[in-house]
Amino acid sequence: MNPLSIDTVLAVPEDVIFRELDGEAIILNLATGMYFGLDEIGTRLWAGVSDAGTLRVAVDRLDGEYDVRRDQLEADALDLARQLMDKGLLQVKG
Amino acid sequence: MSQASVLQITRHGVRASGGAAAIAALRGTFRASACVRLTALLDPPLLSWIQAQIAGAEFEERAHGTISTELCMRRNTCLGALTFLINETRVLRFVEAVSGCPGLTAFAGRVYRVCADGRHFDSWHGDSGAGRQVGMSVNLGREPYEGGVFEIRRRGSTEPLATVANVGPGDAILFSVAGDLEHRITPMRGAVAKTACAGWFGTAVDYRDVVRPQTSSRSAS
Repeated sequence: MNPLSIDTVLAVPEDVIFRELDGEAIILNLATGMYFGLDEIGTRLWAGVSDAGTLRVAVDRLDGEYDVRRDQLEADALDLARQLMDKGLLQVKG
Repeated sequence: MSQASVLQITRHGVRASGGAAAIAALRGTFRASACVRLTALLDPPLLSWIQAQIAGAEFEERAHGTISTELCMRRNTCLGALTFLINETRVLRFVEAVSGCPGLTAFAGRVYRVCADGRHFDSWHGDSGAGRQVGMSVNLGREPYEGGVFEIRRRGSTEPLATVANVGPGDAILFSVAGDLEHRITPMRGAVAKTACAGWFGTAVDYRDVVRPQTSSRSAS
């Protein structure tokens, strides 16, 4: 399997749903009951991935909005994606 | 009564379109008729998933005093998902904007089914109390049904303020809940049952109390 990169095409599994309420974003896997809370940046990364399918698009949207270097933002995005994949909340498309 | 889709709930969040003008139009209809139809509130992929879940779900007959008798879906993942998705910031703020009811904190509802077999009925009644402000019924059926038309009127009046046949897939009716209003569903006709998610947006319930009992307590963190 190729290593995860910001250009890896990702998909949200069929049983995974998302909602945001009062600043608390939660991703829930209905099949396993696993859920995951996201902070503001995580929520925006998730929205970018679920819309566009890659971390690059999600990072592009955030780049320059926060006081963080681009390489750090990419590293944080990859770390979040790995955590979500480990929990069955995100998967490589295909 | 029908309006273009302004808000749509998907598995991955909420999509909004139309902006302030569209919301103002919905609010105008709501003020005039005490209700408004929301086209395709549930997006097609989410609706298909829900319909597949409902196809395998268990229902039990439930009577609400002398008001109504229906089949009610037992609590399951499908109801948990609907509750989870509807209790969304943008959904609550949208309903506030359309209805003019501020401070909505949660939606709580059920999935029910009514058939034209003579056993199921819904009489004129109000839903006020327990902090309920706005009612909502979302059509979850796979086929258009006959009868089962939503009507709302002032108490003491025989003329409905509005009559809405909510047969579009994933369409919803928002309606006002107040002491001087009452509503009903007209008798069903034909072979197709009506299946809907119905409930209330209110100010007295914490969404966490609504969502948590229906979703797993397992945490991924």
